[in-house]
Amino acid sequence: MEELRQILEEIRPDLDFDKEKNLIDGKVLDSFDIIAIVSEINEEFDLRINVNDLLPENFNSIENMWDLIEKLLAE
Amino acid sequence: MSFISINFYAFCLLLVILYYLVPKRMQLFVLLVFNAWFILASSGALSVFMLITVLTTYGAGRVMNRHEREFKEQAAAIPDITRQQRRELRAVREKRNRRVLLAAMFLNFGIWAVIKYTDFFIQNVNKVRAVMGIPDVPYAHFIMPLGISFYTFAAMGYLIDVSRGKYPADESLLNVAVFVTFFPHLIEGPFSRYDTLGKSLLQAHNFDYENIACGARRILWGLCKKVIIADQLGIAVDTYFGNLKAYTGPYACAAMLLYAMQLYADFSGYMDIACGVSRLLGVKLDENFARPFLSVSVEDFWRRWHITLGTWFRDYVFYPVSLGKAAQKLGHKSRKKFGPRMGKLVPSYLALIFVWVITGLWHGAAWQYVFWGLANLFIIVFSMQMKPLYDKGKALIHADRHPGAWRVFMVIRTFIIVGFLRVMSRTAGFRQCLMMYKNVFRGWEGGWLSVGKWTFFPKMQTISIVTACFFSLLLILVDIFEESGKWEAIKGKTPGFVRALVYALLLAALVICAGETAGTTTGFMYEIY
Repeated sequence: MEELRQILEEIRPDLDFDKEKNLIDGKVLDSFDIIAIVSEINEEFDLRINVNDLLPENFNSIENMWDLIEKLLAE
Repeated sequence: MSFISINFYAFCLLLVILYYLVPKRMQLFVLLVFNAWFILASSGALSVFMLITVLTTYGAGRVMNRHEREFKEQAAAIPDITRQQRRELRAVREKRNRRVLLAAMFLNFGIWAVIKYTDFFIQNVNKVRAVMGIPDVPYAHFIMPLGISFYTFAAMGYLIDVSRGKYPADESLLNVAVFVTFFPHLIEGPFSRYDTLGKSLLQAHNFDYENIACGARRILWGLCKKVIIADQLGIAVDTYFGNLKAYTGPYACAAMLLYAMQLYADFSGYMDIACGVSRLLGVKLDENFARPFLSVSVEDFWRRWHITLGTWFRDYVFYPVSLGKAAQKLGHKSRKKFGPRMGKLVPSYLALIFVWVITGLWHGAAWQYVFWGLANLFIIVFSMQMKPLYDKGKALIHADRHPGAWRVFMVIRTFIIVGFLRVMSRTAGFRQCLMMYKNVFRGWEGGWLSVGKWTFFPKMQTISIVTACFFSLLLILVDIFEESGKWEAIKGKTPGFVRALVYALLLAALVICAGETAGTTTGFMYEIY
């Protein structure tokens, strides 16, 4: 999860991703952040996050994002 | 068949009776027959385009299902399949799906684009030919089939979802046909999604008094918005826009704001009728409005206005473009050259330009619409970039001490900006639009009361003017109560006889105003899109 944390902190250095659990529903991250995060995850983990995966429940917290990455890696 | 006609409500009554009388397995068939009746009565021979969309959407979906089955069979046939092998098989499936999707999109969007944009194209070609001294190409003057901008987008959204694996394609031609041709969403949308509308549309329904009562109330409210507010304000708006030179200063401002209110009452009135008619059948249409005139910014406004258009463009244009190879490549280059901030912004900005140019063109085949789209984008991006400065200014004047007043300020500011921009869709071309903007800033010398008579309403009876203004305020008030979450509680606490009285008054006002505009009532404003 450290690689993911690095990505997130680089894109939004102002946030504490251990505390934030409502990143999308709480409108903490905007669509620009999401695009940047997805782009970096795709590159770092050699994945392709589908547009259908761009759901609040997959991006509300660092744990949610990690679960999505693990799910896609297992596919 | 107009939603504002006795024929339409007789049609709906007959449909509701038959829909609940027939065995449940026949309900969809009854609905399809009525959809076909509505479409044939409205579009005649042009209905053939909708038939093409239904058949190609159904066929393309079936082919994609076959690709999915073959992918699973091939994957199952390889013992101890590796991740790499699975990815390769998936890539093959996706490539095959993409071909099918592109063919279906090329055909369906092609029909839509040719019908809607040929004259715009010819107009621009003729401008170039005029410079070169070559005679004009004659215009095509294609007639738009009813709802082509809405059913084409709904059908293609469904196919894109299937190709992305969001859900499997529906194997029933009846289901696909009913979804695409569902008459309440044909005239002005919403841009229905198969995974939301389909859930309630394609299931059997029992007769439920609550559905009938809710549906009828929503239809009544929609009719009031359309006939009492939109059509009455339309008389004033038409007077102004029909003679731009004669009205300046306060008249121009009033016309601009009345036009914004007219558009909202017209479009949301249509949506209420469409949702009400659907509710009579137990079907839930996607909502298109969330009190847009209480928005606190232009960005917020577009989250609340024509919601299904915004989400369609977000899911099928913004995300694919911003996550596409070209935008990502540009993003990486910008990041290396200008730092992480630009690397983040460039792909999204690129996608937003696409989205807003298409949004503009979707609203009308003219350059002023493209300009209107880009003007909206400019304001949204400018607001985002200026946010740190804006926050400092807010702190400086201690805006947080008066949150209510600050919110009112933001709402009024947004309403004025949106109304100011929206004029572009009402004037005939750039020149008129510029004249309108100039008019807003001149002619104030005499002040509000001495600028002559309020000749906006030359053909209207005083009672209609008062009723239109009263209902406009009522609409805003209802929106405010809904926004605060108190509306349902207020309705719940209101005694039955008071509610009955309110409905009777609404009906009476509707009849008076319908008589006032009889013969002049036009269709819904978004029908032309």
